[in-house]
Amino acid sequence: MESIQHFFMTSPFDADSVRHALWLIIALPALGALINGVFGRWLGRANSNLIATAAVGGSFVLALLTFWHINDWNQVFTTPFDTRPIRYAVGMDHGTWFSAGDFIVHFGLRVDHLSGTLLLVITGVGTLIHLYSTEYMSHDAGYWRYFAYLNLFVAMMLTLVMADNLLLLFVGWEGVGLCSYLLIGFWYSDPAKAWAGRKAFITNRVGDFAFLIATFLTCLVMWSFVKQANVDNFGNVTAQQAFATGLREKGPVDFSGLEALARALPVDPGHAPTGTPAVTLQTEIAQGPLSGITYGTVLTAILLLFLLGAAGKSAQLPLYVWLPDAMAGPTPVSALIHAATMVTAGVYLFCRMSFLLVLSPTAMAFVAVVGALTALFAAVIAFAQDDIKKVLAYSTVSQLGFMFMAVGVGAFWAAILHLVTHAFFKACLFLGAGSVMHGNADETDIKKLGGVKRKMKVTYVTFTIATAAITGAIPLSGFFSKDAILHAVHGTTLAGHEAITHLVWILGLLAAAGTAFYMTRVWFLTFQGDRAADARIPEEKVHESGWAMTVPLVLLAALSVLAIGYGIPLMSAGEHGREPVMENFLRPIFATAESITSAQATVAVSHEGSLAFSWILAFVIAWVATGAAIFAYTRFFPSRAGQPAPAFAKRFQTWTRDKFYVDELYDLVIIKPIRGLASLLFRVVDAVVIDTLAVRGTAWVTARVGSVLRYFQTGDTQSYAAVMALALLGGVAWALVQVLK
Amino acid sequence: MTLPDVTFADFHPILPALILMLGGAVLLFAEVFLTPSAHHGPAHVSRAHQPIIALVFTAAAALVSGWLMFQPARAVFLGFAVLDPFSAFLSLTVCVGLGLSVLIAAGFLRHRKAERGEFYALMLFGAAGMSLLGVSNELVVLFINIEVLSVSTYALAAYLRRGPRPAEAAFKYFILGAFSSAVLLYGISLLYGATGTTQLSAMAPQMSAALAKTQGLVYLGLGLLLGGLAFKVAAVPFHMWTPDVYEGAPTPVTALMSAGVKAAAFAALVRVFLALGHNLDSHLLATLFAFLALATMVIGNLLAIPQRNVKRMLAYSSIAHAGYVLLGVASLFVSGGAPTGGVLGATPLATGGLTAALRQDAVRGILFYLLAYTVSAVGAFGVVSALERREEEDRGTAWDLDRFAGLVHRRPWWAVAMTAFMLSLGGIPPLVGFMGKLLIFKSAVDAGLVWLAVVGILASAAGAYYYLRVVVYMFMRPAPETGVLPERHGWTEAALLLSTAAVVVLGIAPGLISSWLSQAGKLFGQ
Repeated sequence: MESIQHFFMTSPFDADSVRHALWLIIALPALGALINGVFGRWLGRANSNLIATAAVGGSFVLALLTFWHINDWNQVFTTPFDTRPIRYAVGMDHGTWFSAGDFIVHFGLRVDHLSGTLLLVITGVGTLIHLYSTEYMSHDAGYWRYFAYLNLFVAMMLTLVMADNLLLLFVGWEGVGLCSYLLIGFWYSDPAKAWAGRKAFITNRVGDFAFLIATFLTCLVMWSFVKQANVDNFGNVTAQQAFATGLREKGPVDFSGLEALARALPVDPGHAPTGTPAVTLQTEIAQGPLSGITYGTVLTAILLLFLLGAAGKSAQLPLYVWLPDAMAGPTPVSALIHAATMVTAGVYLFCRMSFLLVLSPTAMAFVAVVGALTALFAAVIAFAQDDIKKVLAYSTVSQLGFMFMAVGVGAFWAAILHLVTHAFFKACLFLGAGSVMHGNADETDIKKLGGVKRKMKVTYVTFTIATAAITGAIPLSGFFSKDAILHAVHGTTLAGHEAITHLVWILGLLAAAGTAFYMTRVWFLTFQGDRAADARIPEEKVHESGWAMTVPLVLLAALSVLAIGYGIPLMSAGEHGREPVMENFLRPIFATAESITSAQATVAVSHEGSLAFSWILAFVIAWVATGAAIFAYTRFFPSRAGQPAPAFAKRFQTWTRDKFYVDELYDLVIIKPIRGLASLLFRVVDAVVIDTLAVRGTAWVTARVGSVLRYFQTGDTQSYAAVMALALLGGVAWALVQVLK
Repeated sequence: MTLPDVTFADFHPILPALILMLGGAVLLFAEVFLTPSAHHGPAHVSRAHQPIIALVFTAAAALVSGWLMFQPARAVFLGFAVLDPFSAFLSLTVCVGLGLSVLIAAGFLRHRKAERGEFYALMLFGAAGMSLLGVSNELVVLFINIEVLSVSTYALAAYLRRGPRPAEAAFKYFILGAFSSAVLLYGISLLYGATGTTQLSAMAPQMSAALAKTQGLVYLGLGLLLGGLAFKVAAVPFHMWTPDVYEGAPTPVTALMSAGVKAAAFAALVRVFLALGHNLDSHLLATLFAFLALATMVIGNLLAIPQRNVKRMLAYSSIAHAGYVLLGVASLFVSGGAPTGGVLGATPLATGGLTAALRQDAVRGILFYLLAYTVSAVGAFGVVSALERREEEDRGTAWDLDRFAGLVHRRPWWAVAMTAFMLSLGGIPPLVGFMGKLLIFKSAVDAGLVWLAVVGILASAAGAYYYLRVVVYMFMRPAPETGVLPERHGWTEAALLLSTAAVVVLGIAPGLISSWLSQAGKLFGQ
């Protein structure tokens, strides 16, 4: 046992060669995208499939090797910000990407336990979904375009997680947004689908704008801090100098720099032996555009702006509206981008900057509440959706809400655990839904399916496993990850916001119950019972999908089970007994955040609550909701049992089916007024002032002057010579006047 | 009389010119020994080898220039010529312009059935003069080289003797060129009178004494010298010959004139005035160049706007571009004592004019701009020459905008290339013209000529109008239904391909030539 452990925790590679090969992980899918995008049309279907899948598969192999490498304690990553090396990590700085004065951005990659985990999920699930797509898109003429986008997406997502600074992360952030837009609107000839793509893009713009502002504010804070801080902030002169050096060399957006800032910022003012007190969160910024505002306030503002950014990408309230519409894209895209990877970018962002988040309990409370509200709200909407993909989409929104809850109470490892397990089972569910559609003539309405289990055995079994995993009815991976979140929420209090976590916990329990209900409903209506009367094709024609689609399903279902290993408490955690594997594994990443929470008491974690209690509670909730769903749909479902639904259920159904009219509200409050203002501006300012007066007026005058000057161009040689002579005379006369003066 | 002690190393700076002249000689000799082909009678002689010979020698000269770029700067031939990276880069630019013009000429002459060896020979001789002009460090040598390149271009402009236009153009060019040469020579003689020498390195230390003694003589001499060179670079108000000559000359010749002659004249201008301007009242020179730049940029662009004749429009555009380069030249001469306020004055940003490092940057900017203009303009003239047909020339419609209507449907690749050239000339990123403008405007702002830079930017914005109009015609106007499809020639296509590649690649990655460019900022004695 020990030798096996030793084998996997010793890197077989030379650190330098791993460092220099990191970029290949991104370059492979990027190259695949290039080849498919440029030459795809002439490559033929098989070649196109092979190139795209092999590119991501190769990336997966590289990611595995890198992961092995960073499991080694001896592998370190050094940064000028910190005199101590960072363990369990590997990084490569490819030098300055661009610089403008003090604003320096490096092209640096970094793989540690956090980004390493995400790397495996992205490339692993990505490979399976590429494989699946080869069959799913086998009837589509635009397959090469599809694979080019999908490969580009993987490259961008990898850039996002491997970036070692905020701005490079933003490149990936925008890149995945672009690919998402392209793939949602993949069938762009259908206006509704093109519109869905646009909606996703524009909604994300709101968040991206907030992201950028937050980045700029972060830079300002870094620059102010390096001027204002004194030795007491850093503990010793070496650390202070290291911070200044790092800022000068690596610029203000490097994650290591932000971590150093977080470590140095909150010093108790009472401890300052020298004359000038050290900078604390309560200190006002002395210079620059933020002067007079305290560091704590700016930090909270930064984090709230990042929250808005993350809400856009990860479909949280109030910016979640694009994700359900994003289901217009091909189903494998929904599985990869809108369930497993891209939408978790917001969670990743906060985990990457966990050390900053824990400095502001207010921001944490906001994150937790947004997450909890989203989780419940989306779960309720999912109750009455009839489109199988829409249900899964709202379910994704809801599960992302769980992750935000975990982030909000500082249980970052639980968020990542749920991110990983969710990637497995939700991808499996989406691919299962795709398989159902594939075998049922693209039918997505669950009320027009039914009885699918008889013809699609593999899809049925895998979908059932994944459903069990997400509902928690059987203790598979989802049970442990969701329970880890609820347990953490229950046992944590945020300083200054003591009541919040209780509220979040209750909302979370309700959302968990909701999850069990709507997932059981989907599973039940799709696979169980009789074939619906108005089904698109009769049951005989339903067929199971081919191996390229079922193999990923089986593997993902297996992973949904195997990921249990990450969630159960196996690792020794000293006085607190045992802790889950994932918590132990991610400890190097969140060590700074943890030390800040314990030193600052922003978050109080109680280890009193029994894990067994949480487990039993979760289990009971899951079964109650599952039972309720099965009961309701065997007894009341109109087309099956002939029983009318009760009146209260109908009212509720109308509201939830129409998604609480949020889209209509946004249309009325935001889109209509903006459109009105825009058309007003267009008619008055643009058409009259700019077009007529400014543009045409200037052009008219310029053209007239040109035409007048033209008359001097007579074509007469003598007059040309005369002009030259006069000019010479004039010049000389002018020079003489100047000199004589 | 004793012969000066001359070693082979002294020949280094003139090697590119020697190679070009050798190439010219080879071409002339080959013409003598040409045998008429048996099948087509004496009138049809295969001349496909001529552009190849010309290109081989041009490439050799370019290679040698590239090598010279990294040689230590020194004076040779008793100080009559200098070897410095600046002149080597200029030679390289000239060779690039020459090579592209030769390719265009090959297709052009084939179409006109006017292939004769002396055409390429004259081009090579002219280019040799341009290359030598860059290394001249003595005013009489400078004058001779100007004549070498001028006489070649006079002859080239008159090469197609059919029709009144070429003859008129050549004659106009000759008369006015002679006039400007006289002015130049007069200036040189006055300077000799004031300082007792014609060698720039010897003249520079004499200037203070000469200024004290015979101030008027010095200023008059410099003014006339400037006038003569301003004629060659086509600066307003010495620009009036440009549109007539550019329009009348055969298009490949126009390309060579707009690229090579202009670049060489700018090199001479920079060298002479940097050497002699040290001891002058710098305010005077800066104001003078600023005025020239202002007038040239504004008037060049304004005159181009009403033009429907694309070739003529490109001629005016070449005036405007000379204005931008003059802006770079003006920023070389701004110094601490510059006046404040006013359109031409320095702003508070400029505290002491350019430092030595910034001055090198400005020289680099000028050279890069000249290269950028060379590849863009020669490419544009290439498309013009590919489209024109002899029959329409006399009617004057050969270069009308309508010739470009719907080009994208008829010759899509030409339309794409022309778009690249137009956008590059208009200074639109990411093409090379944008990088050039960026460097020039940057050094102007560094020098404190902020207002002039703003005027330059406004002028180039106005320029976008007439450049984009060509693009609009090519892409948005329907093609004439009866029009004859323009012929394609492999040579012309190669020229378009090469210049498009240069326009795009150098625009996106100017770093490719940064090692040369960083060398090229070094002038001998500066």
